[in-house]
Amino acid sequence: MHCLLFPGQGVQRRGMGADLFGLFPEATAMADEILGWSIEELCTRDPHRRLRDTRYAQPAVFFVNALLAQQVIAERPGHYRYFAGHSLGEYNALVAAGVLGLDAALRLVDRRAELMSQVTGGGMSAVQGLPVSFVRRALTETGLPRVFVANLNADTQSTIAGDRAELAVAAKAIGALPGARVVPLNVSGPFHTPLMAAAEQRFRAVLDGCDFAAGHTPVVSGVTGDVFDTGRAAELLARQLSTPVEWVRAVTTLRAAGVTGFDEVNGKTLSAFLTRIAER
Amino acid sequence: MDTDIAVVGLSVEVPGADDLDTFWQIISSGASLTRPFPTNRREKLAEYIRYLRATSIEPVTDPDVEYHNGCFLDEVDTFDHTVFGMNPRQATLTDPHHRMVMRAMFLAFEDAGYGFDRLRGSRTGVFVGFAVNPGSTYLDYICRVDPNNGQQAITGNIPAMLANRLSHLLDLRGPSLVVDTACSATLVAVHQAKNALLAGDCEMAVVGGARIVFSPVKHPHSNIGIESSDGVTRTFDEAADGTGFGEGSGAVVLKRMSQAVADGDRIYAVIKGSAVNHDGNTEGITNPDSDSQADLLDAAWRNAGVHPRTLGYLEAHGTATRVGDPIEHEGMKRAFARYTTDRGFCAVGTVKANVGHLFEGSGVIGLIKAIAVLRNRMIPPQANFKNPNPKLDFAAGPLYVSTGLRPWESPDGPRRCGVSAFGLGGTNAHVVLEEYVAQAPATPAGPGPFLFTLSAATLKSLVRLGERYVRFIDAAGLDGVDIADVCHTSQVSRSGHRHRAAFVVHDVADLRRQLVASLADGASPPPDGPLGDEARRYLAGEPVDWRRLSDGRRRIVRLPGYAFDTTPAWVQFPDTWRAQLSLGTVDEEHPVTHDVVFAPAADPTPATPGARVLALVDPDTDAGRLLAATGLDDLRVLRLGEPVRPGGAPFDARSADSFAEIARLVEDDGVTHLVHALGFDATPAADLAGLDLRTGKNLHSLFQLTKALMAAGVKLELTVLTRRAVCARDAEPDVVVENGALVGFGKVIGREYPYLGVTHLDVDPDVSPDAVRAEILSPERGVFLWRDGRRLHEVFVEVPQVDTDGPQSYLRPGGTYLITGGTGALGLAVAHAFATRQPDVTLVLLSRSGLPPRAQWPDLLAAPAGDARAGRVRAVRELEELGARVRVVAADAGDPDALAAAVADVRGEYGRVDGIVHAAGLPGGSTVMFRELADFDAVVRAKLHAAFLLDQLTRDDRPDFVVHFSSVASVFPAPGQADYAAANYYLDNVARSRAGGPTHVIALDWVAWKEIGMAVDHGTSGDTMFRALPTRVALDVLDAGLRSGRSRLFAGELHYRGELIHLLRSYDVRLSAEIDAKVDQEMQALEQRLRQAADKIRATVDAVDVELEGRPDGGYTDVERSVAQCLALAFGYPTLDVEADFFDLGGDSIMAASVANTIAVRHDVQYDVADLLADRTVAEIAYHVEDLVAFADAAA
Repeated sequence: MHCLLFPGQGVQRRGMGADLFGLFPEATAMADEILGWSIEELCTRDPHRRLRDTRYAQPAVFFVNALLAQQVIAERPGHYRYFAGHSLGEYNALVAAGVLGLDAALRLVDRRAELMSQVTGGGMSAVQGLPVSFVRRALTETGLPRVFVANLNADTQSTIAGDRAELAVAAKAIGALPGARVVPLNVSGPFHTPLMAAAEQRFRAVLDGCDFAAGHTPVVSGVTGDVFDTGRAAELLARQLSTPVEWVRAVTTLRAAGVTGFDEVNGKTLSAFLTRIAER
Repeated sequence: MDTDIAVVGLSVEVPGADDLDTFWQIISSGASLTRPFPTNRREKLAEYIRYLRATSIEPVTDPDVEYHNGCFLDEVDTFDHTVFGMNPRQATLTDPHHRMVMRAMFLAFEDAGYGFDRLRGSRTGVFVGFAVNPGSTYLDYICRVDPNNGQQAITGNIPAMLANRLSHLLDLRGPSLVVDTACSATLVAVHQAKNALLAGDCEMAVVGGARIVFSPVKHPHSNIGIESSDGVTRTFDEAADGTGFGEGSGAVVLKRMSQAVADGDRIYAVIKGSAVNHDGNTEGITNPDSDSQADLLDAAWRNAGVHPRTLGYLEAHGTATRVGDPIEHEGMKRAFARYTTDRGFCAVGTVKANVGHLFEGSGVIGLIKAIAVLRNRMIPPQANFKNPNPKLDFAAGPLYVSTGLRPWESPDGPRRCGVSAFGLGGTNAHVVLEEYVAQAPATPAGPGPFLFTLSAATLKSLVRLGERYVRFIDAAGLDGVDIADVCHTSQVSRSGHRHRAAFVVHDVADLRRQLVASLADGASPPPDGPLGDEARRYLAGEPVDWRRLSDGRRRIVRLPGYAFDTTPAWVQFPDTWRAQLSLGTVDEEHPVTHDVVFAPAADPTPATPGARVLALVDPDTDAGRLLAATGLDDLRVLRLGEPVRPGGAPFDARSADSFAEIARLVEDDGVTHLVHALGFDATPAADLAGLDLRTGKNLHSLFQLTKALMAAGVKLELTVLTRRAVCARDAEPDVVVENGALVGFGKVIGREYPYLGVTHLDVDPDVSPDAVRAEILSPERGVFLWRDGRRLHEVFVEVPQVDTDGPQSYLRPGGTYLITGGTGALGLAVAHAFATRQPDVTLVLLSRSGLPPRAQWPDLLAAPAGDARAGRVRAVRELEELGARVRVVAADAGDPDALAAAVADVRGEYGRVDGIVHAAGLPGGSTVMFRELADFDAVVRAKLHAAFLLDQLTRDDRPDFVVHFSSVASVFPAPGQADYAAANYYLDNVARSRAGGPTHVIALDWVAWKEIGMAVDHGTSGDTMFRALPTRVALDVLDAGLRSGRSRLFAGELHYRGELIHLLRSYDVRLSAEIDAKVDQEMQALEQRLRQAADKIRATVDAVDVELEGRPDGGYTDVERSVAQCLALAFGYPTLDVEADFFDLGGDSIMAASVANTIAVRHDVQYDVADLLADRTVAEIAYHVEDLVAFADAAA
């Protein structure tokens, strides 16, 4: 059984999707219309150096993911029995599963990007080489109230996020543990932490006005690590902003459901995580 | 077949001449270029020579530096890197010879009518004559300035690259090689190129060489015996006393004659034939031989198909030495005598008298001189020739030396001449040339106009080139030349560079007018019309098919050569070298052998109050009673079999679930101190079954507990409590040795997960409950023993001298010795050492894999190399050749049944086992958190269970000795070595407890062996805190250990100068005062070295002058500027674009590491290769670095 995976913010690269936009002229025109700027110019040339900015990076990654997915799925209809996405990528999974239309999803992503980019003063760091239990213990020991585990990406790979100053202290403490490597990530906000509460509130209002279909293919949620309950879609997507990405649990759930083959669009980030999540 | 070869292009550079015309002026006037070594070059070398003299092992105290006179170039330290696609840094690190050869060949190609576009992909061969000469090389020089230069400089300094770089740059597909036959090299290369052309290996070939004298210091030891006393070369003269040094370069472009004619090439001369031979076995390898030289000339004439009577000139090798000149003269005379008795018809001379001896480059310079003589149809005077050498009887032979410039008449046929070059060591070459007489008159072109193109790699070069053309026209350079040919030549040979100009011209005067106008006022746009369109396309950089503009009958004509835009390209020798040189430090010697002893320790440090203690206890031991007596306030004792929580499952030492439950309990109840007292057994295991129960209950339970606590992310103080599990001194009685494994395990926990603070507390039955309480609550970590009311602690001590007071001959003649892990590298090394010491032994090599049956050995040995089994078979064969009897037994030491059967078998066949070396072992795997019990257990069993069983199996008939191969891991383990450390600690422990018994049991704690063994197989055999152990040293330790009465030796020399020595202090093992003092001293020294290195990098970076460009507003951040300095330091550019890519700048993955390090040090942040390879531009790197700096500031 196969599952298609969608990465989130962080995979953006200048030049991504360059040969796609011409193949999907209508979708591209629609995106320009919704966003109010040229998605193709941003992705291929990025003349104003916006690709690293959350405000622009999220719609860009989402849209390129979506076009790539359309290609991949059209090649092998019915091949994928599950979809899952990491953070932002979850919107792509919902589109692929028929829960959201591309246009509706892009509008949500655009709004989400706007709200998330307004939360500043925070940051994220990747932690490699440590089990998350060690990371949590280290955070407890530092006594810093505003740093949290934000992603559980693989058995010894996680990210921490929070207040920028406190994050630096935490990174130093964690980096001192044997085998640990802490790498600052190019992200402006403390995503997937309680510090996103205000953004979550505002985004919840946006989501409440949104319709979600039941979909035709199951999605596994990074919020719960279980199958995405489309009846609670608005709630889950709102909570997503302030709760950790439970990627290890999501993969474990997919494997338990019988998924043996994983494909990924737009790079190999999630595939690399997979090799570092032991079979349970 | 027509074997004529045409010379279709050439270049020459010697002091004072950079083309054929100026070169001819020197020759035709009989000038000699010898002069003192130029002042500016002396100044640049002065410090380096002082440095060399000061640091020589036999210091040269002479304060004066005297230089040879010679024909020296004004400068060899500049280069136009742009036109050759190099960055300034690369150019600076490239050998000047290399740069000169590239330049010479580039100019020769241009002269032949070949620009980059026309050459690309062609079957063109590159032949360079070159040798690395004794004394200083440029690579040696720049590496003395900074050894880090070596890596980056390699492609610019190894001789093969002389040819390969040009082939690479111009995409040439013919042979590309360097010939080294000493002084005949470039002429031999001409012969090779000729053959390659005739064989069809290539369609065109360039041949050349270059020579500079890096530092022509006069010193009696460095003379090779041919040097002229005053640097002047007086070939054939009475006063000749040797050759003067010459510098310069030259290159020729060759084609098959028929091809050259068809291509409309300008043909300088024709190579009619050539020959190469060797002197053979002469009196000495450096002695030339006139017969061989005569044979050489004869062979060349026959190859050329010319009669020597038709020759009018001979360019001799002529080094002006007292030995060489008469031999060469004799050789020529003998060769001519085979054909004619005519006298005085052939002039002889050598260009060495004008420009000095260019060694490997001299052949092609002689060839170019001969071409100049042919083209000018004049015999030049021989320079520095006053009175003939009386030993040379010119009057009686065919040769004469010309003393003036005179016409060369040749009424009976084309002018012909020959060129000789002889190499030190005996390789001789001779080439026969003929003047070229055009067969067909030039075809006049149509009326025109024509398109003239001009291009250069830099704007500066373009302007200079324009000026050069104007001067060339004014000097009548284009008189009588068809403007159509001028334009055609400019298109195919000079059009390919980045900066361009194009003129639509009617005639030469028109060309001059337009050149002058554009130099004064800038280029005007091309006119309308088809040619103007072509010009516009060309200027826009679009590809232009020049053949469309040609009528197919155009010829290559002579035009000015490229005007290089040179900049300094020289590594400056620092005049601060004296301050930076730290001479005279000699490393102290440190002992290889150490030991761990238990020494008295101070009382436990007092604890902070508020402890909540949970103790895990085996109810069959005394632990519960002891703990109850401690009076700990808040103590819960959890006994095996009791429910962990009320109503829950009973506590089972073998159940992972029990420990997960305990971990939750610890969190829920806020337990601060945990005591693992399950291994409080009073007596050692009696048999294997008992041992299994013990390891299951004690070691496996500690493993599961640790794993569960780590998974839960718990923080607490963990005390592992045992009863006399550690052998505190040699032969301590009643030690429960198997529980000692818990000590080794405990040492690793905190290294993997520092939030578990581990103390191992090992007590005797007399310990006071108060002491136990104090130990449990104390924040101290490490191994503490209580014996007779005293507290003991591990101390790591030096064993400077192993007292060999034991049996001196530990191997009995006729004895039987069992080696587990026997076919492993260490096992075989031990076997070899034993068989060498006592050949009359039976060696039983036991290993999991064993060896194939003997019948298969011959096939195995005959198979191609690479099969590890063949290596082992070979080693066994060697043992047998030494005289030993070898028996290989396949059995897994970790499998008790297999081991027991194997030992029984051996005893059945050989009787008593006289000695055992237990060297079997599996490496540790991963950290406890991710380790599976079965894998953990396999590592333990191969050492611990095997050792236990060997002891049991030989109980009735004790061997003389047992050697246990233990490891550094039992004292200083690394993360991931919990199982390995546990097993090895047991080996140390058991050896100590057996001290003084009937068998000499000794444990050797090895650090990584340097050449063989587990660490080599896993790529970890480098120096760490300890220096890796050479096999020879290790075997000496084994020998000394066996001849001593010791029960244990730690074998490994501390690597005090290493960067990891500080780690030694991170262990909870006390260091002896002497070791501690040395570590202290070396850490301070290391810190100082690192600080100095960082300061030096920062200072060097800050001194770099670089302009940033590429941003319209010209605004750059400070970090962008400093990052640019880091990149400019690596590449040498005076300006850098903020968006320029690391790889486009000339970076590669090899240099990325050092550039990343420079950036990291300069900005005091963690920045590595991966970061650099992702960021790649100044802007992106700076953005990243700013982020890291902000991050570091926030943390501080």
